[in-house]
Amino acid sequence: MSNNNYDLVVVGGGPGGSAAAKEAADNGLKVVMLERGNFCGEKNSSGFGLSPKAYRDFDYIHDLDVPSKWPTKFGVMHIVKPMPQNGDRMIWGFTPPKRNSYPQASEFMIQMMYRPEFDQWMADKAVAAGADLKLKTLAADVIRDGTNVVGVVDGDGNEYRAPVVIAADGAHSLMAQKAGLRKKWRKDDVTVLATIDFKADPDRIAEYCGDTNVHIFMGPDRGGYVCIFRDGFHIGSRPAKTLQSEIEAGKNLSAKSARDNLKLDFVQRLIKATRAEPQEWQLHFLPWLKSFPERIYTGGLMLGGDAAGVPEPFMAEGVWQAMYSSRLAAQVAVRAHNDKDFSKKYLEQYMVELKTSPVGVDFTSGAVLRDFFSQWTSQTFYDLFDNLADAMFYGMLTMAEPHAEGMLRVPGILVEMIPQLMFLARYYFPIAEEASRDKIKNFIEGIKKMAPMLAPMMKGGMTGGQS
Amino acid sequence: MSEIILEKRELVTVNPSPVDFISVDPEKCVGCRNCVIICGMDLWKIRDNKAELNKDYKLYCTECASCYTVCDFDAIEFTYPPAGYGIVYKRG
Repeated sequence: MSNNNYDLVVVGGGPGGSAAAKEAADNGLKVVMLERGNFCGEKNSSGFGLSPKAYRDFDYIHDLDVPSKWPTKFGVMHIVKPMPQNGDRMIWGFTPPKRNSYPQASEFMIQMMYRPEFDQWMADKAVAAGADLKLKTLAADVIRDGTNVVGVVDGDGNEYRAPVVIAADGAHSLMAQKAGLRKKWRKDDVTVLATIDFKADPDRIAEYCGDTNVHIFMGPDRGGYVCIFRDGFHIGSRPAKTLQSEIEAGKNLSAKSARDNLKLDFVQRLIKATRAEPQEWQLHFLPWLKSFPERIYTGGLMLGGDAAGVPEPFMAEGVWQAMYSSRLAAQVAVRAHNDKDFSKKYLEQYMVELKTSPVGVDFTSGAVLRDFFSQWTSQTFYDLFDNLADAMFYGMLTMAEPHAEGMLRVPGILVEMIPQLMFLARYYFPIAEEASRDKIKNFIEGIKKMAPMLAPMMKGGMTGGQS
Repeated sequence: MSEIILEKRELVTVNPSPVDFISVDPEKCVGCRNCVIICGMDLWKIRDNKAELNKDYKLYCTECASCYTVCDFDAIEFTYPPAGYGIVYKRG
C-alpha cells in the first residue's frame, strides 16, 4: 500500500480533474487521478463544447487538436412559431462579435467537439505532466483522519492516500456526500438536458451547414438548440427548467422538449439533407444554481466543476468552469503543501478566490441574466419580435403595397412596441445596473440633457403613427 | 415530412452492471410519483402505492441520479455501477 501514497488525489477524469492533475503535477506534486469509466469522457455529455475563455485562461489549450473540433464562426437564433406549428417566425444570424477583450472572442463563439475526444486529450495532458491516471477506478468513499479527509477508497477496497483530495467527480458527486458537504441537491438547483445525437454524412454537413454549426430555438412554448459536429449533430432540450418545475408540471419536460424540437421544420430539413440517423440518447444532469455555492471545501478536500455546482446559471456552461475551478483548487493544494496546512480553515481560500475569479463573476451576472430570460416564454416577448418583423416587412421592405403607405405605418408600429420595450427594460436594467451603477447613472443623465431636443421629433413620430 | 420513430432505449449503450446500484426502501416510500415523473428513461412505476424500479433498469439507466435527487423521503439510494460498467457515451 505504500506506493498508494500521493501528494494529491484527484477524483474524476473529466476536464476539471485533468486540469487539476496537470496543474499539480506541473508544480511537482505526486498526483493520482481516478476515473470510473473505461476511458475519460465515457460518462460525460454536454451539448456545446468549449468557450473561447478556455483559450484565454489556459495556454496549453492553444495546442488542442481533436478530429471533431469545429469552431463556430456563425450562429443562428430562430424565433419559432407556437406549437403545433413548427416553422420559424424570424431568424437572426451572428458572426462572433467585432469587439473583444481577447483575440479568440472574435475568432469563434464556441469550439464544438465530442466530449470523449476532448476529455481524453485533457487527460493525456495531465499524464504527460506526470500525473498517474487510474481508469476503471470508482472512488467510493473518503478516508478520514479526525475531521480531515486524507484520501479515498475505491470500489475494490484499494486506498489512495494524500493530505488533500480534489473531487471533480461530476454533478452527482459521491465525494461531496461522503465528505458531508451535501446529501443531495435541492430539486430547484438542478436540471437535466435531454439530447438526441444524430450521425450524418460529413460531406453533406459541410455542404448544407457551411460554417454555421450552432442553432438556438426560442418560442413562447418551447426552446432548445442544435449543435453540429463534423459527422453529426445534437438536438437539445431547452435549458430552462429545474427538476422542481418538472415535478410541478407532472412530466419530464426535458425529454418532451427534445422530442418536440425534433419536429421543427429546420431540424427535419437538416436530418433529410444530411441523411442523418439517430445514434445516441443522452441525459445530462447538471447543477444550475441561483446563488454561488460556498460549501465546496472541508478539511483535506475541495470540490471542482459540476461537483462544486459552478456551472454558469444562464447558459449552463460548465466545461471552462470545471477547468478553472479545479485548477484553482490545485493551486491551493500546492500552497497547502508549502505551508503544511490542509485544514478546512486553510482551504477556505479556494472558495473565497473562486468567488471573485472570472468563474464567480460570470456566475453572478449569469444568475441575473437567467432571471431576465425566465420571461422568454412571455407572449409580450414575442409580440415585440412580431412587431419588429412587421415594421420591416409591412412597413419598409414590402412589395405587397405602395412604399409610401408602408412607411407611414412604421411610426404606429413603433408606438405599439413601447410597452414591449418597457417590458424588456424592466428585466434588462437590473442586469446593467449590476454591471455598473455609474454607467447607468451617466446614461440617464445624458438622456435628460438630450430630452428637450428629442421631444419635437418624438411628437412628429406619434402624429405620423395616428394618421 | 415523415415522423422519426425515436426509441430511446435502443439509443443508449450500457455495459449492464452485475450488481444493483439503485434501491428503494418501501418503508420510506410514500408513492408520490416524483421518480416516475423525472426518469428520462421511464424506468419507474408505482405498484401498490410504492415506487418500483423496472427489473431491467440496469440495461437502460444513464446514471443521471435524478430519481435520487427528487425523492423527498430519502427512500431511493443511488450509488454508481462498479467501475467499468454502466452507461457509455460515445458522442457526448
